[in-house]
Amino acid sequence: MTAATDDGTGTGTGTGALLEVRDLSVAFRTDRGDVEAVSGASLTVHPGQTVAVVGESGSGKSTLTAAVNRLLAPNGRVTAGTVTFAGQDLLARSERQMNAVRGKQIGLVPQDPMSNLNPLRSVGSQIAEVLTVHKEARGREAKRRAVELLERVGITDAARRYGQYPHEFSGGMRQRVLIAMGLALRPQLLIADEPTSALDVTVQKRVLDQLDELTATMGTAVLLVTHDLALAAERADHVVVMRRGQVVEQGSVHDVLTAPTADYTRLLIAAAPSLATESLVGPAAAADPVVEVRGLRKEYSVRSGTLGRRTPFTAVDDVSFTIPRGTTVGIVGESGSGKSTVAKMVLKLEDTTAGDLLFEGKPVTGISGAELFAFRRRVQPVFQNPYAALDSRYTVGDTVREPLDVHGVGTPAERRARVAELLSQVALDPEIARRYPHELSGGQRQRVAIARALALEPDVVVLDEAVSALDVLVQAQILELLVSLQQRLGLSYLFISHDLAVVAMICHVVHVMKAGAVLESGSPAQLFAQPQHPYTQALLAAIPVGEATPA
Amino acid sequence: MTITAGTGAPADAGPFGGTGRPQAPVDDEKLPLRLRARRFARPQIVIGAGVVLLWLLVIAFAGVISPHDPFAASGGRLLPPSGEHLLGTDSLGRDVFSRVLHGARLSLPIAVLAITLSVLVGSLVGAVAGFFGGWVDAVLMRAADITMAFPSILLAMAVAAALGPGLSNAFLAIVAVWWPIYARLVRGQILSIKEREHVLAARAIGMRRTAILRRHVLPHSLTPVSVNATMDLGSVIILVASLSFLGLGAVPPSPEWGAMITDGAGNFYQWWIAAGPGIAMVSVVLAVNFLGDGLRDVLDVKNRGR
Repeated sequence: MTAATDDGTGTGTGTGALLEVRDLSVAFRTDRGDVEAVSGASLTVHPGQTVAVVGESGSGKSTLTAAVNRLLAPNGRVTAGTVTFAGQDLLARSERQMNAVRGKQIGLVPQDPMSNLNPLRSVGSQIAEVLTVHKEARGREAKRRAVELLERVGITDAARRYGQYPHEFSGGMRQRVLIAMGLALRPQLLIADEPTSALDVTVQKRVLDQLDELTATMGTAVLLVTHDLALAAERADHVVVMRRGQVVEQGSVHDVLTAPTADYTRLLIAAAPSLATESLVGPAAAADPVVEVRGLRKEYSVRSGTLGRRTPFTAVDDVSFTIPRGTTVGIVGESGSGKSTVAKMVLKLEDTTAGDLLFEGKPVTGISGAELFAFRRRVQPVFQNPYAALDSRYTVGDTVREPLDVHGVGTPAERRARVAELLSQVALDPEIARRYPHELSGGQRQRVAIARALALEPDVVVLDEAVSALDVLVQAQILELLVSLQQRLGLSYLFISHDLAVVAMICHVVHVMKAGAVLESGSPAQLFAQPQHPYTQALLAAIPVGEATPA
Repeated sequence: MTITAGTGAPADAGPFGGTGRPQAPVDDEKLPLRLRARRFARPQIVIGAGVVLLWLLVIAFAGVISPHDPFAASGGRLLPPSGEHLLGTDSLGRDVFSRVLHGARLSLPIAVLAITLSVLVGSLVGAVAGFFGGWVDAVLMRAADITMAFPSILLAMAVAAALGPGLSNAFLAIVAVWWPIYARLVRGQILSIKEREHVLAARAIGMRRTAILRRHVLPHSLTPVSVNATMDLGSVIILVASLSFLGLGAVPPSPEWGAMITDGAGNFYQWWIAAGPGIAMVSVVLAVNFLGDGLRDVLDVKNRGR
């Protein structure tokens, strides 16, 4: 509330609000006719305040903030309501007048750090451009200020980094660059649309800490858009919960979390996994290992340097674990930790460089032909992306029946009956067999993918980030389904995830991976109560716990 | 080709907390046919398709609508355009308008056939190279590189000259020049499609690689191929005419457009002899280019604004 008013540019309405959105409705023109994405949403941001807009995908939260900045897609338009920023009616402004507001008074940090930087220009020049476009600084002065901004967002050796290109920066550093660009002109309001969703949890924490510190010193108000209620609770003063285009609840973080009034908010709070969430599975009974992995190693040769010499890169280094029958073994790690490579090797979709893979005590490392074909029936995958996991050209029924066709299980009539049985097993209406994937929601698709994995009655299902792309309520339902299937069918799971809270809910044993190696193993209770390895401790500390920072 | 007919209403709110996401950009492959049809109603596509349709009618009814015999003299020589001879007559007294109409029966089907065969050969080569990789990929793609290193008209001339004149040889020459374009395109598509999760899932159930290629990989690469083939059609029509113009394609009595332009080239002051087939060619090439551009805008995800 300090620096923003010092500028004197934006003293506005009598209420002292910086941004006031009243009864805003936004509609999109689509092939199916007009679709209302936001209906009658209102919110208020006071100077220096952080307001979080929380909702699942399709709730209209990003559309709402895009409308504030007048950056809606061409087929979208505001159908009702007002947006008042620092006393000015933004909806009445011309496109040219808006350009003076964007960047200068309202900064923007977009979601995807990979696609929002120009790969052909140096990072520094892209920050300097923000200053020159708004005639804040030119030439050497712009460069000096860009370097200063890089330093302020925590990039070390900023003067040298200025001339580097986006591909030389990690995801977290790129996101910092975008924050630097968003804050370059000391805007009164910063809109951050899922600023850390593409980042690993430890990186997310550092980036958000930096963002908090900067906006606090600059007195910038923040409109934070996120799907993560815990993150919103930790970082914001005020929370706005959206669902299907409507604001269902808003209030201070404390009020919303401790005394939610809307049913939907209560559901969200209940479904959000945290380390405090009770485990869905009981203690593991002692059982024979169904899968045993010993000293697994994977090297890729990578071209590097100007001559393109091939150098080996170790993705997985000496990983050993067992999956006892009927239990869930989790592997957690950040991107690049090698956890998905382990999953692919267990599925035998990727060759091993060294080490042994045993299935029911028999080595299956080098099998091929008929043996491999038989192995396929026993170990099946479910992947992360419910949109890419199903072939868009085939109906659900075709997809689920395909494994039966390939393995020649039963007669055509029996296969059809089995498909219906499988679909009801994953709590889908067997009628859905005639539909195409595009007609289904993300959660339904993931159920179909699970039904396909179960078609051959496997012993082991490898779940590679199988719930990571789903909204939190759907995620909770799928996790429950997985647990009940395990109990009914005696399945063993290898559960790969970056999300410790989810792993804690569903796994009997957890292995923490980093840089291709397993650092620490144990039951979730042990591991998360008394983490031994510093990396595990860092991972745990980085999880948003849903407590508001003192204002 | 990319169409999967939809059944039932979209399940926006499924029984399990399904999330309707109306404003998310919609992947074209996921839209049912009846909804997709409307996307194609753009001026570019409508005009392009209209002109192409007109030429198809000409091909079908050239014999009926031609006012004169295209092969026999039907009046004086080198007559300027008139009511009787819409595009005048050539040096042998043949009606240019009738010859242009009959020429469409040669130039257009040859170009379409050449593109089709190039697409088949190229897609096969590209699919095998992309899907199997390794040395197969290296050998096939180097062959494509070498072919593409030559200017297309030069290589087509060399092939046509070696095979001897005639429209069928010109056709083979064009296929020899054109296949690598689709080989590269399909290979690139396949390299990205084969990493998709539904392909991994198919591998995990033990499906044969050729079956995966046929069922789960190739069909997804057809959209860009069909768009590109449409866009290339114009170039191939010109290539056919160029070969004939150079005496390497259709031979003289034939009313092939390129050959007719050669005819007219000697009669500078009787502009209508060359202009007739020239205008016909421009109209067809423009129309297919409009159509191709329009289809690309509608179908190509990369080109579609959010």
